[in-house]
Amino acid sequence: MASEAEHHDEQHGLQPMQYIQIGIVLTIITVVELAASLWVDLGDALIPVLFVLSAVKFGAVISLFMHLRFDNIVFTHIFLVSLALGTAVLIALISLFWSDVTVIEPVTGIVGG
Amino acid sequence: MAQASAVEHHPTSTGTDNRKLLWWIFLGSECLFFGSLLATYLIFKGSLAIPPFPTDRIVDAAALVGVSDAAREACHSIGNNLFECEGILDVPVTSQSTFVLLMSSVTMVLAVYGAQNNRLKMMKLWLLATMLLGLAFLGYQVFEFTTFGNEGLNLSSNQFGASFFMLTGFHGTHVAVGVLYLGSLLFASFRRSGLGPEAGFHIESAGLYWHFVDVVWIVLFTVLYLIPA
Amino acid sequence: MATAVETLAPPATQSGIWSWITTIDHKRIGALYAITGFIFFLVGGVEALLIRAQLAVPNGDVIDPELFNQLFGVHALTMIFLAVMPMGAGFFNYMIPLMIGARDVAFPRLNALSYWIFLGGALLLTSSFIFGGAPDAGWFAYAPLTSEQFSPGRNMDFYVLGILMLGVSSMAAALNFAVTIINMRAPGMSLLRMPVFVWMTLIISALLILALPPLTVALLQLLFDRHYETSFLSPGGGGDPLLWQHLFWVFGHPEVYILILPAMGIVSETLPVFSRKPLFGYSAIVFSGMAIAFLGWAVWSHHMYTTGLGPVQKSIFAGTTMTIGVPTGIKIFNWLATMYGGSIRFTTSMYFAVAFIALFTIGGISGVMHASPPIDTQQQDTYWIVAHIHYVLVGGALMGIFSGIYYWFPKMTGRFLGEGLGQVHFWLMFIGINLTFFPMHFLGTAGMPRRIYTYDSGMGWDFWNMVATIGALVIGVSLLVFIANFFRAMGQKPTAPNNPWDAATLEWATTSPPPEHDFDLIPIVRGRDPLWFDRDHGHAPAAAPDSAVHIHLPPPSYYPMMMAVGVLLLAVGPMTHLVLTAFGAVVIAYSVWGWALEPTD
Ligand SMILES: [Cu+2]
Repeated sequence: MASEAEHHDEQHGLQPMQYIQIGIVLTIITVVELAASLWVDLGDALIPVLFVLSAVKFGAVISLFMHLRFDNIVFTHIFLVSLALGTAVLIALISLFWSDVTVIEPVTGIVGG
Repeated sequence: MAQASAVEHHPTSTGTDNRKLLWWIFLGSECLFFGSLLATYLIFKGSLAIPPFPTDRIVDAAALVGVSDAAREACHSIGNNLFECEGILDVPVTSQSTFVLLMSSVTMVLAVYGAQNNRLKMMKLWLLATMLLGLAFLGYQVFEFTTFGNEGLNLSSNQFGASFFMLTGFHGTHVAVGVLYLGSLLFASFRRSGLGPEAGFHIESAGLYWHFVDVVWIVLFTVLYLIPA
Repeated sequence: MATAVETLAPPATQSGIWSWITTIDHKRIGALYAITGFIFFLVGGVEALLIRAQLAVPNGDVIDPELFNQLFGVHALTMIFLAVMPMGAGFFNYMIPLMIGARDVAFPRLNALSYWIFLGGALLLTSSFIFGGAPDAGWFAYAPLTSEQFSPGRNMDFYVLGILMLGVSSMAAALNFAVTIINMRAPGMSLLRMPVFVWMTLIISALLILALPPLTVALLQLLFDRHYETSFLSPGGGGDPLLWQHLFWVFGHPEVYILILPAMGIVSETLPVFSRKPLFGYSAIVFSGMAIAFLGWAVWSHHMYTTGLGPVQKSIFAGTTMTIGVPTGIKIFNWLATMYGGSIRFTTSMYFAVAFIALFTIGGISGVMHASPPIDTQQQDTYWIVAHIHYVLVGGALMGIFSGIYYWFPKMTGRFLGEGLGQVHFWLMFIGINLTFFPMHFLGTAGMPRRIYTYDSGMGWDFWNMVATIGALVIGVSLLVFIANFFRAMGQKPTAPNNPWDAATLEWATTSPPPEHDFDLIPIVRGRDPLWFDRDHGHAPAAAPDSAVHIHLPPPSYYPMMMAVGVLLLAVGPMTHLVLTAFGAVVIAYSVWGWALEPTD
């Protein structure tokens, strides 16, 4: 197992300084997201912009911090397939409900009582 | 050849470590778990009728029938039988906790680096930092939940309360489990034998879990807090 | 803590109850799964017989309506979660490591944990009959019938917590088998050389891993609705009962494949062996298995045509559902082509495999029929649906499982199940199934609703209900014959050679039953049907290894059992007192710690 540690050293990931730089970049993206959401009026572009920025953050963490980029491709396949399926189910569920012609109106008044 | 079922040390078909493979498949499964919780939240978000609301909203008087006093306090009459209800989400405060969790990912990856490069002091230090940042995130969450509770949002107030607390609560539970996980590793690393020859592997596994909890929050923060009604 | 860890030494003997509690041998765990599953199968069978006794004649009064409601709910839960899935899991556990040429699964202790949590969940669910009433809202437990308002008793709590536990167990098992199959194959066994049964297990594992979380979320919502004042599912509080149906069927439809794919895998092993001919269209069968699993995600709303879905949604789900018929049909034709031109040996196992194809095809065709929304609207909640599901699960899944039992029994025990009694078992069961379930098609088209407690005479349902009840008794008798066959076989001397059927897969390369370490020498795989390939290409079996070679096996462990007790306490808490949940968490934490520190070498 000692050999594995050396193996990691060479090609398994980045150097500490690089990780810190990535952390700074992620922070900057978060600030940009906040700005886009709270202080700047982007109109209809807001939601796509936020999605792209979060996706960049998401991708950076899984590929660099979680070492997907340096690891066996099997891990990437497994995770991305599951993620895609989860997203597809989420979108399908939401669109089934949001397009539902018989949306059940909540009965106010009973709530909390 | 004499080494039989000591599976961990046996060369595997794909060349990957069994336990790491297990972790990644498990995280894949977690995507569906959080996906279903988030779907529930979004389904109900579209048809919210009574306050407290996540963001500012104008409703008519009927929506205020039967809601708690605390929730009603956030709604001000603007005439014409209409009321403006203040949104309950406090984005600036949650941005701080988001930043804290993001930083914990950086400290975590440094701990993994330390463990894999046999720099045990570095590993322990960053492990401790990660734990503390995780605890800080949980502290923010406790603060947020109590504030919301005081403002009339709870599991039974409306569908927003139920699905919000369920979703962020289960995320918080994951963070708490992660803190315990890291804590036990840190504790074990002070034994005479430390974490053994596979320290790098153990910390890396914990890191996978920790980072995953962080990426879930990246999604939740954007969808719950940043995207307006 | 460390001292406590050391107080209990690993057992020295290989027999006795302690050795079974602490075992992490995949073969023993497989046997535990199979036997537990079969016992629950008998429990579910008795429940079914009670239901049929009540419905035999109009206005029957064998049992009261309340018990009837509990029986049809628990019959389904028992058969699905406590019988068919565990019997399938029994085969996975026993056979997968042998078939891929490994010495155990990837995580032997996790494997034991799956079994013990399953046992805890099964006992929790079944104990509901004693402690105040079993789940009585059907296996799919539609909201808002399950809310505290309409189900004030403990009944549905047993459902929620029992199924949550069984889900944890299945998840652990599925993770384990996915890793085992991906990573533990013998040298030379590439993915497309894996036996079809191994492929199907991999696909089932993937389905479980991805489909259980939505069910977990639905169950948690129900739990919170009942105990923590949310109203996700009750319209009175602003919730939506359809949310439950969606989340449940997102899991529920893949679950159908989780039940049937093991049987498909088994007959894909037995048909070629007893036709003395390699499987026809191996890749087609493997890829249609994947296609079924993939499409299975896009069809769930076909259970919900009558809930007010729009025409576009209905059309989409009807289209995807009918599409699934294509890969299923591909499999059926490939199995037929496997038999075509083969020199067939009609063993009992082969009888069951052939009957599987026939009966499963009937269930498949009725399934394609109610894939169409207008037809389904007519058939929804009638006995037609009951007929369909039972042709798929009894005629399909169960026939496949029995084919596997007769096929692998010599490998597992070293003994043969009697062929004579086997034929009696088969014919009684085959006739019984068709007598019971075929008339249900007629009852369904005559409008008999499912889940009714009784019915009046003069509806035109009397005759076929009586026939169905007689059929159920015939199935019951056939199982008695099987049990007799089992005990008769176990009383004999183990005489089975390594490969009594001249089969092609690796489990037949080792002794019957296999030694604890499975293989003296890890086999090398040179082709898709390794034993036939070696026989035809003159590769002699590897020489027995030097006896000096010591094969090291991980020591037994009692932590899996301990952790399962913790999980059971955790689950019982919300029903009784949360102190138990806290205590359960402590037990789990203690066993995790002990587990992590326990030496595995
Ligand atoms: Cu279905």
